[in-house]
Amino acid sequence: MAISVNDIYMFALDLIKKNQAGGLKPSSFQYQWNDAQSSYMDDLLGRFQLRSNGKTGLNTGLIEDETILQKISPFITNATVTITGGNGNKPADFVYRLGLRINGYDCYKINYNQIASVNASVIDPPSATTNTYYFIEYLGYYTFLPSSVTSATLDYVAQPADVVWGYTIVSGREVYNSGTSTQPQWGVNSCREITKRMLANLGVAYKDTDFENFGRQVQTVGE
Amino acid sequence: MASLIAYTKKQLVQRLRQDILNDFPSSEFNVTENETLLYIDQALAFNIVGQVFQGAKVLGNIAMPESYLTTYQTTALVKDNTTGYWTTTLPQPPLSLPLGYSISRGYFAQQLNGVSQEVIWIKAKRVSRRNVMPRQPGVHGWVEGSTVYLDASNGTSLYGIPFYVTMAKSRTDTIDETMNLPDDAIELIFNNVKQKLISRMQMPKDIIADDISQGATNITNK
Repeated sequence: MAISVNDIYMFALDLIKKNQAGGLKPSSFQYQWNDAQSSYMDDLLGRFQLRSNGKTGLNTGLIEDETILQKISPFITNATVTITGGNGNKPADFVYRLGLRINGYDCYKINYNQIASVNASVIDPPSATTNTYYFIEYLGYYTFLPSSVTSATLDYVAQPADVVWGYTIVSGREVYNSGTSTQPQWGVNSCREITKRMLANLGVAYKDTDFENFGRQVQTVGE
Repeated sequence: MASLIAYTKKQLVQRLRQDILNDFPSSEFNVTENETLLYIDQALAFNIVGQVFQGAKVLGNIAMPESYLTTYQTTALVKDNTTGYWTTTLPQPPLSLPLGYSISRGYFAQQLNGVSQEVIWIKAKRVSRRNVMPRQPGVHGWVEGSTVYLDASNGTSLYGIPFYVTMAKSRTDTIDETMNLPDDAIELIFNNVKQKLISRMQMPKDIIADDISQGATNITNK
């Protein structure tokens, strides 16, 4: 069963034993929850700063194990990147590249200082004939080799939509309106965990170390 | 009977890549199929020569396993107007085996006349000596690199006659071609390439080539 933005808002109110009017306003909830979901996604995608930062060290990016892939599956999508003059723009909601193919063949990522060597390669030169493709990442776009390619298929993790607790004013009160709300896209368990993680931020806002410690603990151990 | 899985060079390439990664290779694996194929061809050539000489030690006579042999029709013969020799190009330089084993056969063939008598192979260093000796009738041939020189004892023109050679093949024309080797040779080739790739992958890599050891910088791997 999907969980609604109102459900998680109620859960948050219950966790902190505050009320809607003066304790945790829906607008504050939205800010904090959206921040917490971004942070949660970053954790899932891999925070290399927390661990070894060796150049070829461990744990430097997304660990594509089953648990993590299932959790981020609501955001895994694909898009066709149109390439003009060798360049193709990333989708607007792009967060993390999972795979890039041209004509069903792998497109290899190379670094900027490898472009000349790859172009001069006699073993695997960029070629549409042999389906040998490369890309380099710039700003919001990719540059492809060979530049004659016209489209690529990108599998990627998309940015979660910000939740919105929509409301209508009834008797001077904000009453939840599902029609004007934006629902969370995460699974139920992730929604609950994000709500608990949010308490770390709320603790700062309330100057309440209990909230903050609880939120930090959830971020560390998930409970 | 067709085998369940096509025994092509590509199959061996993919097996090696999957074996090393213990999974399907991702695009982050920077040893490409072509590169793996070059390792395989290198190991294959090494294995052929080793196998032939090892066989000679055991059996007492040198022999080329037939599985390695391929017959090619070479490029059209061209006459060198200075020397009068006819030349053509082999698909690859012969392996470093005695002549007769590196190249097993050479002959001309036409639909009208059928197969000719065999070319008489002579070592390149013997050409000068042979020129001053009574010559056995027929076409004499010698090899330099991948160039074959042919010379008919009676000076007959070889113009337009298709020339065929049967030789041990260690290079790959297309990655999808059938593996031209006995199955028992796969083991050594597989292990040879795997050993090279694993030792290569275990080398510490300084991606940005700043000579600062890995771990001492916060620039991540790609």
